[in-house]
Amino acid sequence: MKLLIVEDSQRLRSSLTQGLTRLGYAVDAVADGRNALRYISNVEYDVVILDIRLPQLDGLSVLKQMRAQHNKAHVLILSAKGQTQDRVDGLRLGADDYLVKPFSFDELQARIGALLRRSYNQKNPLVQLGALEYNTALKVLSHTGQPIPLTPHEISLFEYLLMNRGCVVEYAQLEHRLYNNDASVSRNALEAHVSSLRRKLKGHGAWDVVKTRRGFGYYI
Amino acid sequence: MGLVTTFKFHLPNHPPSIERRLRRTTLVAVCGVLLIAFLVLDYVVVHWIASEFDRAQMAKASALVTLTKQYSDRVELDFADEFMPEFEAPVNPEYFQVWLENGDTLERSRSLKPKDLPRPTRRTKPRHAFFDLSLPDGRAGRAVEIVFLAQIEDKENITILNMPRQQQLAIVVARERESLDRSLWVVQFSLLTAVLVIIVLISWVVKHAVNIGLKPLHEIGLRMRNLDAGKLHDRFEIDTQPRELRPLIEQFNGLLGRLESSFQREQDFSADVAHELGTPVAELHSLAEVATRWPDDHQVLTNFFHDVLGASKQMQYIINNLLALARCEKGSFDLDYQPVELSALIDSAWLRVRKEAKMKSIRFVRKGVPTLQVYTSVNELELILNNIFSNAVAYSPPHSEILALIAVDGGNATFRSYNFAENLTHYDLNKMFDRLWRKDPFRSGEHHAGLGLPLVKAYAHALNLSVTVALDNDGRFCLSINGLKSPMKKQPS
Repeated sequence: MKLLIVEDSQRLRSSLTQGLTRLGYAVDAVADGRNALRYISNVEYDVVILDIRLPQLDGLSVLKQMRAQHNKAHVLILSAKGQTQDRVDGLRLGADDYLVKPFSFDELQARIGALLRRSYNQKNPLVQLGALEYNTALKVLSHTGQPIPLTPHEISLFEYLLMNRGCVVEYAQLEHRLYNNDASVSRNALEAHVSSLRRKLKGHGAWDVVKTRRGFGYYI
Repeated sequence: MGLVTTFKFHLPNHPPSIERRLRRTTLVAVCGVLLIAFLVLDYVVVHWIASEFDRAQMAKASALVTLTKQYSDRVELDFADEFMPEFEAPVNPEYFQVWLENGDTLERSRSLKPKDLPRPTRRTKPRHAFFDLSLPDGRAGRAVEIVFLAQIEDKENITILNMPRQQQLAIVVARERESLDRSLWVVQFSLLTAVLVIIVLISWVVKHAVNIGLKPLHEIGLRMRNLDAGKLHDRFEIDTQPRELRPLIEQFNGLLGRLESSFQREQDFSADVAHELGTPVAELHSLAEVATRWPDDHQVLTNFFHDVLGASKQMQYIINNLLALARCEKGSFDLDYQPVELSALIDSAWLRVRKEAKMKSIRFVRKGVPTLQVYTSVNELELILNNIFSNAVAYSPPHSEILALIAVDGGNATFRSYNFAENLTHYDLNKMFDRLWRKDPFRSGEHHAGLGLPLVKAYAHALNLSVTVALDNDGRFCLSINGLKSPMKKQPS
């Protein structure tokens, strides 16, 4: 899943990027409104975490232009306590949710999870796939009740395939969704992650969950 | 033990309302005037009616006097009942009696029968007097007594030699006075009733007139009662107000304006503090949560301590400046006045920001009086200059120039700082001394929190200096510190 963090505070931007990356999200981060618009125009994000007070171009203007360009990414607004009207304006302009600073990282994670489930019409955080059960809120995959230890990239890969189950996800789409813009990822790295995921699933008795459509991509 | 009942009287602590005071004063004044008018009118009317009554009585008595004649050998009263039937009427008769000089009765009215009328005065000289009496039939009456000299008759037979001595007679004419008393009572009752009715009417008129007169005041009071922090932008219209209230309304509108600005400043200050402190708190919160969740992640921990220190320093910077501002405004620090070389102090303050200026290729120029001693408190003036230069470097565009100018006018010196500042307007000049005000609405950057210029103003105020800001014709921002004294001048108290 691909996220964009638009936040002018370098320290907050950096800690959020590290935390969300550690959770398996592909995270891009920018410090001002103009750069945010540039990223949003060129990359398809699942969720944009948007601060309202930004240099060069404020968050509400970014949101307005995003929606004018028919960008469908979910937008989560970050605002200070005294900016009630800004939040109201943001929701009216097409934001999907908001968080007031200072906020809990757990809450941010939960809200991002909720927005992503909304993207895939998945209201229940528990997704069953035969004997496999995946908790989208806790990012935990288990087989017959036994948790399967996966790396953030493997979790991200599995989650994306699961949310698009029944459809073949192309290699390029996976590369785009699972890695941030600055990372240069080769097809081999993606295949290595898929191979590792399959090995761990097989080790827990889940055979042939991630399948390959030669020349196109992977699917569940 | 007996039951003791205590009555407590609660006296109002506040003075009576204007309406009540006006009504009471007007009513008391009107009632006083009416009472005096009533007394005067009552006296005049009663006196007039009684006089008319007495005059009629007198006329009747005078007529009887003219009928009394003295002859050489006798005195006669030539009275005929048919001409004055009231003296023999069976109902409500009138009475008269005439006495000779020796006290014998010459004549009495038929109505008296054998009774006598009282003759209280027993006067010896001709004159008349009125008095009240009880009539023979028992009614209250009023009488006039006339003492007179009888007219001499038969003058052709009387010569100077045989002229008799004129007899001094007395006559009392009496009649009932109940009709007079009744008339007087009716008149007095009518007057009193009229006065009471007038008082009731006037109190009603006064009440309504006062209410109408005070209506604008009531309306203003009602609007004032409904004012709250959210309606401070409302203003009272002056043109529609009565002339007497206009100065009050003008002052009140001015007060509302100042209150509104003050509230706005408070709101801005709260929002700005929330942002200035909220951002580093959010940073610390996020840093701590991420580091706690992945304590073994080297990448997460690499910058953790550095970032925590940075956020803490940012908070410390804001809090220290707010505390310094509060201390300065309370005047809770000691000033140490001494002669100071101003240009040296300026150069020293510039050295503190020289590194940042060099990074932006900003040039520093000092002009004006090359050396000048001023009598001031060094620490505070140094803080003023540090903040001025720090702001100037932060907001000047790269490759620009900052000019420091020392000018002397009489015994006072002025320090001016000129620098270019992008997008600065005259409106901003009015706001830039507000706490935490920043030109950048997004409050980006962590090295300035909008407290530099408020500190400059507060320290300048403590040193009895004035601070002014302006935009010159070239669009340069100019900040002046005025009123620096030379050491020869008397030190400020």
